[in-house]
Order: sequence, then structure tokens, then C-alpha cells
Amino acid sequence: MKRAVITVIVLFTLAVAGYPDATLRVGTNPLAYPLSFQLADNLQRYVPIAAGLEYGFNVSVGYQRNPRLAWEARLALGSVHQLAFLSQIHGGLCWFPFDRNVYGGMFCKVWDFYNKQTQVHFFNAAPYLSAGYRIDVGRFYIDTRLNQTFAILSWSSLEHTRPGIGWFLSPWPGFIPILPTFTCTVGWSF
Amino acid sequence: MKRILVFLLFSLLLVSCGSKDTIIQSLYDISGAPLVYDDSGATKTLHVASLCMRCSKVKADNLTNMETMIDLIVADHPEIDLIVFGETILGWYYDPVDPQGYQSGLAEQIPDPPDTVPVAPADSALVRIATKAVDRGVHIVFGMGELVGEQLYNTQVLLAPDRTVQAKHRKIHFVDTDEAGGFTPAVRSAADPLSLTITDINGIRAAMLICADVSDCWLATQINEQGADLIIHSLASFEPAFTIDAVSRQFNAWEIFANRCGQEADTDYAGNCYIADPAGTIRVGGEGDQRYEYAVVRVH
Repeated sequence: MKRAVITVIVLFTLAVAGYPDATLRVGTNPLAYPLSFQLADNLQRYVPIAAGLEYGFNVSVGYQRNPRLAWEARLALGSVHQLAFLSQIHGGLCWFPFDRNVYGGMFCKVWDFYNKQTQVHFFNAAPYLSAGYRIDVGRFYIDTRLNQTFAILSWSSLEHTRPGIGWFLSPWPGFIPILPTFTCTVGWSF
Repeated sequence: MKRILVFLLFSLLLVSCGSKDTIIQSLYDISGAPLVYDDSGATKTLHVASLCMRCSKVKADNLTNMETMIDLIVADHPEIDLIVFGETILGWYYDPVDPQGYQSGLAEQIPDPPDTVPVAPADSALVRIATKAVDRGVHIVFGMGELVGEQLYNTQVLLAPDRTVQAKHRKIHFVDTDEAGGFTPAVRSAADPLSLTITDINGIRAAMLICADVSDCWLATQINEQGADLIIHSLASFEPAFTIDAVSRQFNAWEIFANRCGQEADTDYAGNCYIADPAGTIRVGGEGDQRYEYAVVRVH
């Protein structure tokens, strides 16, 4: 996980270097914060879908290199429930075909599902596509998007395991075959 | 500013709504690509079968069905060590007409471990299944209502091939239908083997859970502290099949997920039944009609 964080920071730094007129955006997903606490059962089950499956403290850093292209990295850290802690990092780019508001994005998300009691890590890397809409109000912005994962690579610190890979449109295809998530980010532009 | 205050207040209300005793599994618990768990170097093995049974409302029909399935499994796999049936498998899980009266009518007394099951009365579920365990030389686990005086417990019993009650576990963590059925939850106590039930089968440490017990934070913590190689999990669950088994990952242990299928009053059970390895990979199973799933549990 540390290597993934360092890689994203280095790539992000390289991506933003040399564009002094570009815009930096720092934001957060407010719906993710309460999810690391003990909510009512059904809220705990379903609200994460509206929070982009982010839990707890989170920060999003975006870099608008030109009106059509932006880089973005996201970090979220929080407990999923009493037994598991989740660290996740996302990195990717957004393309604005009409110069403003509407965009499409392509990201990769790496997360560590850590069982605090057995001290076993389950790591996953998943590419996903996004479609979003961003509203700028002065320096303030609200960014809403739909995300759809399509593949996954998994590995674990558990002894005697080897990685697995597969298509991944939903964590529970028996219940719902395709499950996009929604993310809302609020923040400031500099 | 006013909106921020409203949001914070709303967040506090949400925080105060949940129970710290209940683990609500997330989509991350069941996310991922199946991992490859290499058990080739294992030193202990257990041949197990997990049952998915279509239950009749009539107890005698279910007992005959159980005996038939036991005979079938033993015929197909003479090496079988352990057969696991679902929760309260002697009848419907929930009868909306008279939930309490119905469950009381199915229930029996169960001797405490390690007492021997008597040979009479002949129509007793415990007697008939214990006789099968002896005749077939196999451990059998099944769920049933247990009568203790005026109390009714939702119990999972493990019968050994020597006719003893090797272990029994009483359900701790209830859902509404357990209460409606007139069951009493077991008291959480690490010193009570009826609420924290870990037993040894062929050198493999097996913890016993009934359905929503898996969401009990106290019980999960106790089992993780004491360690288990195998989770014997009897359920009455209508949920569809998973790609990854959250329970195996909760304990990093093998799991036998024994369930029921078919229509019972307003509830349609999808017949999700499987055996999963400690990495959460489902080795055999999925949704379906009445059947059994067979696997060899291998422990390093």
C-alpha cells in the first residue's frame, strides 16, 4: 500500500510539473465521513454506494492542466466495521470534451481491506470508468460522478495464497449484476 | 454555515443509531477476484458435506429427508467425516400463522455434551439422527429448537459417531423472526461452551455459528482470539450467492455454509450453500435446489 501511495504522488508531481497557470483542486467526499462510525443497519449497508465506497477521512487532489484535461488522486482511510480497516487510493485522469462541466474519467483504485483481528491484508487493484459533472461557484466546486469498475486483481498477505484476477462489474453479482457507485466531492480551487 | 451545522447534526444522529454489537458486512467484505489457496501441504484433513435442504412444514417428513440425504452422501463418499445441515432444519424457519407454537412443537430436549443420546423415543429427531451417525460412522450437525424447561433455544447440535452429543451451540445474535418464534438468545459468556462453542473434529478446531451469530462482534472476537480452522455455519438465509465468502475472511478459516431452499410461506430461499477456504474462495457451491456440496477441508 505504501508503494502505491508513493507511486501516485510521484506520478501526480510529474504530471503537474511545468504548468504554472493550471488549477489545483482540493476536495473531500462528505458522505464518507459518517460511514466509519456505527450507523443504523440499513444506512451502513446502502449509503456506501452513494459515497463511492469511500469510508472515513478522505481527500481528493485534482490538477486541471488545461480546460480539457485534469489529473486526480484520491485517498480514503477508515473503518468498514468493527473488524476491518480500509485504506484506498485512486489515481486517474478526467477529460472534458466540451471544455467545462461534463467529463469522462478513467481511474485505477488500489485498496487494502485489513482484518484487524486476524491481521491479514486483502489487497485489490481495480480500473474503473467515470462520468461526471462539475459545478464551479467562484473558488468553490461540487463534483458529482458515477463510477463503474470493470476488472479486478486481488492478492493477500494470508499464507498459502496466490493472486487472482477477473472481470468485476459488481461485488455481489447474484444480487445485482452491475453496480455503479456515486461520488460527490466538494472543495476549493486554487 | 447553517447547512454545515445541519449536516453535522444529521451525522451525529446516524452515529447514534447503530449497535456496537452488530457487524454489518460491507461490499468490501465480498469484493475481489477469487484467490488461489494452496492446501497441498496440509497436515490435517476433514471430508465434509454441506446440505441445502427443501424443508417441509411437517417434522417427520424432514427427518426422513435428512436420513435419505445422509445415506446418499455416505454412499457417494464413504470417507465422509462431517455432514452439516441448516438452521432449525426440522421444519420451516418461520411460520407466520403461529410462529411460537410452531417452533415449540418441533423442539426437543438435548442432552448436554458429552452425554450420550438415548435410544428412545424412536420418533425423536435427536434419537433418529444419532442412530444414523452411529450406523454411518459420521459426525452430523443440524439445527433444531431446544427445550429447556419453559425456555426455547435456537440450537445447533453436533452428534458424534459414538452417539454422544459432542457439542451444542445456542444462537446468540437474533433477528426479528427468532424473537417472533419464541426463542431465547443464549447469554454471551466466554466460559459457557453453549454460547462460545469450539470443538475438535479429527484434530481440526471447529467453531459453531448459527446464521446471524456471524454478525455478533463479541462472538467474532472470541473466536478470532481462540482461533478456529473451520466455521460450521448453519443458516436459514434467502440471500443469493456470493463471489467471495465474507465469513471465511472474517476468521481466515474454512467455512461450511449449510442452508435451505424453496418457498416457505412468503419467503423464497435461493438455496445458497457452499464450502469456502480461508482465503474466502468458494470451493464448491452456489444457489440451487436441494442437494449437498462436498469438499475436503485441508488444514496446514
